[in-house]
Amino acid sequence: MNYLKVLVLFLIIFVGLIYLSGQNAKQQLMMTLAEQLPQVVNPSLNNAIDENQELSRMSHSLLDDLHDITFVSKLPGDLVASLTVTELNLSKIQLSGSNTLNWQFGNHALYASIDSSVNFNYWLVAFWAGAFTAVGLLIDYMFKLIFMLQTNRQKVPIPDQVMTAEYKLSTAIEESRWFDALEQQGLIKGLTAQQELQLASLKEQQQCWFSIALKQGLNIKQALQAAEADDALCFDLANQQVIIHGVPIRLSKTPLLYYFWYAKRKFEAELAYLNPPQGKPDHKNGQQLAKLMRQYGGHQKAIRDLDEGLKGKTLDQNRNKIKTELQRVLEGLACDYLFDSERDERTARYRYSLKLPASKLKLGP
Amino acid sequence: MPRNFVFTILRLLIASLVLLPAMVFLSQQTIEPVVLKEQYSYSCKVKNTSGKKHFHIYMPTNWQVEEFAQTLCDSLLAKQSFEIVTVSWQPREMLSTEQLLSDNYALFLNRDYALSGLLPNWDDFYTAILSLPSYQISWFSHQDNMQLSANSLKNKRIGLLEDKRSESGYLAPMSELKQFGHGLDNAQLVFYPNRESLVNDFLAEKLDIIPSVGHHGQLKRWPASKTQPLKHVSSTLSWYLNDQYADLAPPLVTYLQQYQSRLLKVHTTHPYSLDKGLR
Repeated sequence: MNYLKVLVLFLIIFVGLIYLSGQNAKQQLMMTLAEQLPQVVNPSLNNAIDENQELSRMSHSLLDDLHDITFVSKLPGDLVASLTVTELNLSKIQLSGSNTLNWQFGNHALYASIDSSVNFNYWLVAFWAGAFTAVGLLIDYMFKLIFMLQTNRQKVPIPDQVMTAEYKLSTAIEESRWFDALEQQGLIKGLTAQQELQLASLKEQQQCWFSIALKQGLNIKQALQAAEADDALCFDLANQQVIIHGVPIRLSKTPLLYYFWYAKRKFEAELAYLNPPQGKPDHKNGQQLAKLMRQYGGHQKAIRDLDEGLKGKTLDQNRNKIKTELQRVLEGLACDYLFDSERDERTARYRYSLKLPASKLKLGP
Repeated sequence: MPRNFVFTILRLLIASLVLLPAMVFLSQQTIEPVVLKEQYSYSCKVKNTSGKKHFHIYMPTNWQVEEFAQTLCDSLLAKQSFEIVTVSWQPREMLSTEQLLSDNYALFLNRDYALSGLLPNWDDFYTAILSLPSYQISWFSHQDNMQLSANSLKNKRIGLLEDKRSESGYLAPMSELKQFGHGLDNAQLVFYPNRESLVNDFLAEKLDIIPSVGHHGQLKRWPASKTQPLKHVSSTLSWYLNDQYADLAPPLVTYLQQYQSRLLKVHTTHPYSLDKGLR
């Protein structure tokens, strides 16, 4: 995109320089000819027997003096190397076209039409076009910088305590919008007016969900849907992912199935699960989980381990993996989708259950 | 409209606006002076020669100059010590004494009084080798049985040549008009840069009266009743040869006789006789 911009700017300047210097050269030629042609043409016609014949003779004869005309330039390097008149037509009859001259000879006018070809120093034009492009980009960059400084100045000085007030203020004024930062990061491009309105109306929490969804690779439309989605945890085992608040998060198979097992317990209103004691794995629940694993293509090793019974250590490991992965994606918002724990007074072991109420769980897509 | 796109366009636009004056400035080049050579001459290279001299001819008409010069280059002056033959036909008013001395014309056609005016001792350099027969200048009009008088010229538009050295177009008719004296208003006189435009305006009836020797096809067939000869008969018009090239006189005279008999046949109404006026 940026290369394209540079190329377009370069081409515009290159063509512009060719056009401007070509026009200038032709204009200079016309000015010289306007002055000189009458001076050389008129005296020859004074003693001419046939004006038309003499004009046509001079049209050819004058061309000899009008090739490889050179120019002096104010800056080093002449963009126009030379100019050659390719056609010169003198006439008593009015000639049309842009490159025509006319002057008076006695009681009637004489006309000249001039065609010329300009010989450019293309390398030099390219050099200057390059230099100008660089300057152009610099100016462009400066404007960008000034613009960014201005938006930053509007944001920075407001202390955190009044952030919400500032937020309200800024949305009200609509000078700086909460999603400008996302735009600058290139996460959103080409907003429609309706999307812009939708974004402006999002609540703070929804804005967070919108950003998360974008970072997870959803497009603007999908991210908007996620932002406005219900607060739910949905298991999509076929695609090896959970969908939290509309945002898909991929998990490894084993932690995902442990997560599913806890969710299923919550859904079926079972009590928080007490970690089995060390050295006494829970065979009943182990079988249950192993069955789930087989059903959804879990790892053989994990299944074999479960056949020996459900161990507290394995449960801890997998809960931690789930926590790490969710926090990576959801940051502060992850905790609502993790586990509540309570200590069992009698055994001094911990019970774990999903924090989310059963009503917000969906075990299938 | 996406905000970013508008912003990018705006920035590029501002950048271009800032650059434009610099581009215009860079494009400003000044043309190296072009000097167009005068167009009132025709040159050719002499055949079969190793000479370096320049044979310069002046005549107050461009009638068949290319053929004239080419004849000299191809045959008359071939094998002589000349490199180039140039024929010039600039207005006689542009001929000055300095030019006559510096250009060192080899041959030219002029009247002796004009030559004396330029160079009183022309006799020391030039010899007249051939004179044109004197010819009649006439007034041409659109009116039958015209009698020129102060009265008949009243409110008439009279066309003349601008060239104050032209005997038939300015000097002779002007002095005749002066003789009618008073009644004549300067506004009646219209001056033309050459004979063609003078005759064209006369034929288009933009003029009532013009002086002419009958240079034009239509004037040659002009009814005698609508013409009136001027009292003045043209003074002698001669070819002058530079004394340096006196040995070239015989072949030149032969050719010039042919040339001027064709010129007079084509361009005058007046019956002429060739008096081989070697003075």
